[in-house]
Amino acid sequence: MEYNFKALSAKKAKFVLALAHRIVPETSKLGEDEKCELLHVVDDALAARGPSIRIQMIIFLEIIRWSPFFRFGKPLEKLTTEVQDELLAEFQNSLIPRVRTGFWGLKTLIFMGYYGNCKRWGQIHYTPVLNGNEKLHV
Amino acid sequence: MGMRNSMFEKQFDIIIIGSGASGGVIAKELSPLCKQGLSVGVIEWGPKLKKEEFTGRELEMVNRLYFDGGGVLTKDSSITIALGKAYGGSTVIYTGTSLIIPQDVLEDWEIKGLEYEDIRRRSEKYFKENNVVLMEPELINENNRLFLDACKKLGYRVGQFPVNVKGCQGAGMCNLGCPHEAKMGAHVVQLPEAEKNGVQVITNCKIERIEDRICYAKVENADCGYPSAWEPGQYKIKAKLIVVCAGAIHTPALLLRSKLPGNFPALGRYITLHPALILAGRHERPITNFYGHPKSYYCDHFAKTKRFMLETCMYFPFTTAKSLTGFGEDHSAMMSDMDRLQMIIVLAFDRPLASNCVMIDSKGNPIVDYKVSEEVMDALFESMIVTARILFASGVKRVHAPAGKKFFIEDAEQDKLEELMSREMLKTGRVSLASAHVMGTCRMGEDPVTSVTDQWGQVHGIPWLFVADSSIFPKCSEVNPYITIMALADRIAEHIRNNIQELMNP
Repeated sequence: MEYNFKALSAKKAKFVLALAHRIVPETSKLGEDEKCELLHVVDDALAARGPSIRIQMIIFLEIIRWSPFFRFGKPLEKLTTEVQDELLAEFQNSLIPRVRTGFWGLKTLIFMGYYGNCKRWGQIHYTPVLNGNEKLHV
Repeated sequence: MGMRNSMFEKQFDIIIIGSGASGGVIAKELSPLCKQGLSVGVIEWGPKLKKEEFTGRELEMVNRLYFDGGGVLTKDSSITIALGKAYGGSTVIYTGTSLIIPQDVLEDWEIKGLEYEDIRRRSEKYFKENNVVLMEPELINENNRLFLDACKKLGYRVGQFPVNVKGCQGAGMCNLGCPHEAKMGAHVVQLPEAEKNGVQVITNCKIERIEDRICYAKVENADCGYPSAWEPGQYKIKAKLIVVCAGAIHTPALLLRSKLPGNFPALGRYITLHPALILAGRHERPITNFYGHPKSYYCDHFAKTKRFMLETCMYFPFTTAKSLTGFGEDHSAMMSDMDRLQMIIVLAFDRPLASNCVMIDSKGNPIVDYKVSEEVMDALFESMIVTARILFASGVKRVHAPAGKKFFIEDAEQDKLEELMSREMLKTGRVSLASAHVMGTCRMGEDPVTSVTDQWGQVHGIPWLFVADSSIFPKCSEVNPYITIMALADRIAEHIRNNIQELMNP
């Protein structure tokens, strides 16, 4: 996969993808090009943010990745999926508000990369039309 | 060439900053002055999109029409704020729900001279002007009808939203800008009328600061829409009168970074947001939800006792995904059948606190420092139990509530809602809070210590500067605010017209 991103390094992009597989399991079934599309959306959204938010999110990615090291001796993506999910839930429910909002920000970026792509809409049975009123009594 | 040398100069008698609900009304109401020889200009930061650019594609449209792609965050990142940035402001991206502010709420504002009957009359004026109607029953989708029936079944007071549409085809894309121009916002009604009467509208132009009867601005074309009427560059714009209508975040930010004569301790303070969250239920069968107008009913049964209101809604895939709590298999299961989802949005009524405020950073950008109060969290928690009841009474098989102890509450468990939800689970960051109703920050009042403008929107001690948007609300409106914004703007425009000689020749 070729990376030519604005805010993410190749390593961080790879970790975002690993995270995406836990946040939206369907992302693991995406082809290489589709994964790249997802990462580009995440990268664009990060790049469009002010430097302060961008840096916070990049640091938060590192925290999520490496915080398991002290307990398990491995970064997050090397753990079993069950343990990864438990740890991510801990971030989501953390007692520290900044940790919770940081996790919310990351998962939101991944949701944006996946559900924001209209190529996914058919799979989730979202089929809007311009003349929706005509569909009301079909 | 230095910046000073490259600065263009322009001059108007009256400048209106912002072109949304308030800017549009002020522009239209002052436009007859053009026939008397006065020049009136509207300066809009955002672009004017071409009709074919309203594609209904979520990410594309939020990036074209919203500040920060719809993701303006509070300082602690606990609430996302939706703010329109376009010709027509937020009227391009709202659902057009039109409610008159309740009498007791307006009276509780305690603004001397501001009478309910006057605001009601002016609101009704905009009901007519913007074609506010009740959608015909056959055009109401199941997402809305099921809510209505369930509220009735449970004995909750429910009302139909009057909406400002003409020729609605039910694309369901109101929040992404109507592709049919069927929503009668300021971009369709007030601004074209103002332009017809001689008002100039300059898009893609950001006012950077205000000095004594001078605005400093920058024109920079967006990568969509029509180019600005002015060429890109820095501008110095002289005006005898300036009316700021940039919304309750960008108005105080602009005033804070301007060199205004005087001291304004209340500037930026007392912001209210109507903090909101979404509950979704899943039916066993597809329902009509993203077809048809998305927002037809509201339930204000608990407005006075519990300080929250419920509204029907239907959002787009990304917005829906980020509004649910959690991630992984359960989240995906909920998202996998968008056509089976029934959604309800809850809005809590927050109180104006001086500590909740808009500040600016070192570059002059707004920072919204807002702490969600325990009272609001309590209201949101209670609202979730009520909303889950409504969803189950609508026939859904499972409900996702942000304060649920587990992702789904099944219909067999609906008698145990209080047990299955926990106030402890309702924590900022864990649940997704949003706001589309930003109010306060330049509140009206008599005391310059606790207010910024008088009852006519005139900034205390500055006869050439008015504010006319929702930032003048002293407290939240407890209903969707746009009609009240228009009514107040209408009142301010009338005051300006009545005093034009004095204002033009101080």
